[in-house]
Amino acid sequence: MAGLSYQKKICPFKENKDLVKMINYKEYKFLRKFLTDQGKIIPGYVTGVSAKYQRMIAKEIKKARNIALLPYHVDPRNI
Amino acid sequence: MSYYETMYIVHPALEAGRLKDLILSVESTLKDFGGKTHTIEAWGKKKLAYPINKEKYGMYVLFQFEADGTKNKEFNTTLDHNTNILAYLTTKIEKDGLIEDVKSLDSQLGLLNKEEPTTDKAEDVKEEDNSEDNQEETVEETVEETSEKQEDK
Repeated sequence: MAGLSYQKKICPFKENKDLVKMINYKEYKFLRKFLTDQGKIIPGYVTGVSAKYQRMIAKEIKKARNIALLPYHVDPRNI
Repeated sequence: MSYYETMYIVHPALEAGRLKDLILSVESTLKDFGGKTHTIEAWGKKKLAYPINKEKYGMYVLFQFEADGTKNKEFNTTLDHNTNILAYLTTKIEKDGLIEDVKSLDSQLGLLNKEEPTTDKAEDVKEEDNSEDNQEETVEETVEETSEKQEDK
C-alpha cells in the first residue's frame, strides 16, 4: 500500500435515495453524466457509484441508446 | 395484466394531422391485441443521437398501456412494418412509473406545432360556452379562422 492512500468515494445514490428514480432511460440528460465525451460508459470506480446502481445505470443507458436518446459513440474529431 | 410502455420515433416529415392519425392507429392496433391505453405523451421533435434511415430528427411519442404480455411481440412487429416509425422500444414498467395528468393529445400536438392561436381559440370557445356571454360573434369569427387554417393545410 506504499503511497496508495486515497479517500473512498461515496455513492451518490446511497447518499440520496431520491436520485435512484432518475435512473431511467427517459432521464437521458441525467444519464449523460455517466458518459464520457466519446459516449462511453464511465466505470463505477471512477464515479464512485456502487455496483448495484452501476448495473442499473448501464442498463438504462443501453435502452436510451437503442432509441437514439444517447449516442453509441461520438467521433472524437467532432468533440 | 401488467403495465408496459412503448417509446417510438415517428418520421419528422409527418405533419400534425397525420402524426395524430398515426398515433391513433398505433392505439387501435393495441386495442385489437386486447390492450388498454393509459397515457400518450408526445415529446415533440428532437435531434437523434445518431441518424436512423438517414434522418437526423424524429418525433418522440411515449405510449403507456396495460396488457398481458402475450401479444407484445405481435404489437412490436406491427410497429416494425410501419415505415413511418423509425425506431421503437417496449419496456415493462411498474405502476408508479405511470404518468398521470397528461394533457389531451390535441393540445399536446397543438403546442408542438407552436401554433398557439389554435389552442387559444379552443380555450376561448370553451370559456364562452361555459359563461354563455353575448360574444357569439367572436366565436363565429374564431371558428371561421380555424376552418380557413385547416383549408390552408
